[in-house]
Amino acid sequence: MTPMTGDDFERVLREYGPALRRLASSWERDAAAREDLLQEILFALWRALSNFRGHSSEKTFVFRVAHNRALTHRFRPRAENDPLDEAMHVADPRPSPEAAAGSAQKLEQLMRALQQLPVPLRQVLTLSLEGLSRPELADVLGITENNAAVRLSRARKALQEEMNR
Amino acid sequence: MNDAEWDSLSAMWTASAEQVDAAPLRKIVASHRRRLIAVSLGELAMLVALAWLTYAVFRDGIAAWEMVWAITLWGFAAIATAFVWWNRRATWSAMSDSVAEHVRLTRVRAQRQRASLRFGVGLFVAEAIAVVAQLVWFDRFTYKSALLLAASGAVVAVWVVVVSRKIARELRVVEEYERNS
Repeated sequence: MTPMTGDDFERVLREYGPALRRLASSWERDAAAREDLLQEILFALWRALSNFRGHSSEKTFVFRVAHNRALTHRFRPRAENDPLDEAMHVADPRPSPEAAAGSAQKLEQLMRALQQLPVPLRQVLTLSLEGLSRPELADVLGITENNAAVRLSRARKALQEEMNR
Repeated sequence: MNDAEWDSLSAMWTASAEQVDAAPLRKIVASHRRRLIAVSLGELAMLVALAWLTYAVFRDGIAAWEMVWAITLWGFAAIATAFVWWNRRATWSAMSDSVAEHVRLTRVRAQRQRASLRFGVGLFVAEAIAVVAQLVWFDRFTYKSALLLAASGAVVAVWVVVVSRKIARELRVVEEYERNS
């Protein structure tokens, strides 16, 4: 398989951009920090895509780069109490004002709950929310399928508890 | 959380589909290229400066102290370069490795950086001793050279503190990750 070109990268951005934005939102509450993380992920992806040879699926490749970059982003010094940001920067399709308000509130609740969870649990949850299968989860995280299933189950329980708080 | 609740959360999650703007990325890429060029030019300039300095010292004949000075300079530079290359072994990682592999290599890199730090401090102390011994031996040790040595020591101390804190932070994140895996 030939290395990716600029056009391929544009396509990857279009295809996975929203998912990467959601990923950044699950890591950072502050809007500026979230945008920084998103750009760092895109830059890492831009650098990594020239090495993509099709040994894994494009989807797992993109998520591996994104999650590794997000983890590295964590190495930076952080403010102890990041100010909560009311705008989550995630667009919400609005079927009706009431439903939209309820949905936006639920999404915000989900984001905040995810941000509270330990990183390994957050990773498996966001990947699963994106629709990755168990083998794909295992591939991205570098663990066995059984471990992925156990971690996902633990993470869903922790998320439930966090959302009920 | 049952499967139906999970599916509903997943649907809500993927429904938020704001596209990303590639314009800031283009700026980052351009700035990255400029930085790479600047770093390469900086390294080249340093090498040229050291070579020119050696030539300037040697061009009117070689005194004993000049020979000792040149051997010290290039000897320590060679040792430092060799150590840096050796210490980097097996730490290169593609960002596309699995998360588990990325975490493992992050730990290895942090440990190697800690080794670099110890080596750097040791090398600095050894070089300082060698330089002071030479200057005293050739009767060239002045107040100015002592001040220069003290300033270099301060720079090394700041570097040690900054890098130690960075390493500690990285290892803390890695340990937290492994604890929760």
